[in-house]
Amino acid sequence: MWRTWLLFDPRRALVALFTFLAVLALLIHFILLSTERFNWMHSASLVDKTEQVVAQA
Amino acid sequence: MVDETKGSLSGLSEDEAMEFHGVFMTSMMGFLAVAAVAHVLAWMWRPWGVAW
Repeated sequence: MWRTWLLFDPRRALVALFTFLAVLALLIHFILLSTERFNWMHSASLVDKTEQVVAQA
Repeated sequence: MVDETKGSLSGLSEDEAMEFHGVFMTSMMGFLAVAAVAHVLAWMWRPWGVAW
């Protein structure tokens, strides 16, 4: 495994790895934000819905 | 000027490669530990992939 660093320059490998991980993290977080279940920011609209349901019941 | 790193493509000597590898693996384990904790917390908040 350590021979990897005889092939790949650690500096470039780290920059590539960090860039890849950052883009992946951003992608996943935004995908989750676009869903109903995993959106952790839209508690307001969730409250409206529950109020509507309660009103109808 | 004798280029003693002509053996490796990255220019590192074997000792340097081993040393970097040690720090790299330790850091990766730390990163994975944090990620595991985050996923456990997220799962406790809202499980995914199963019929909830």
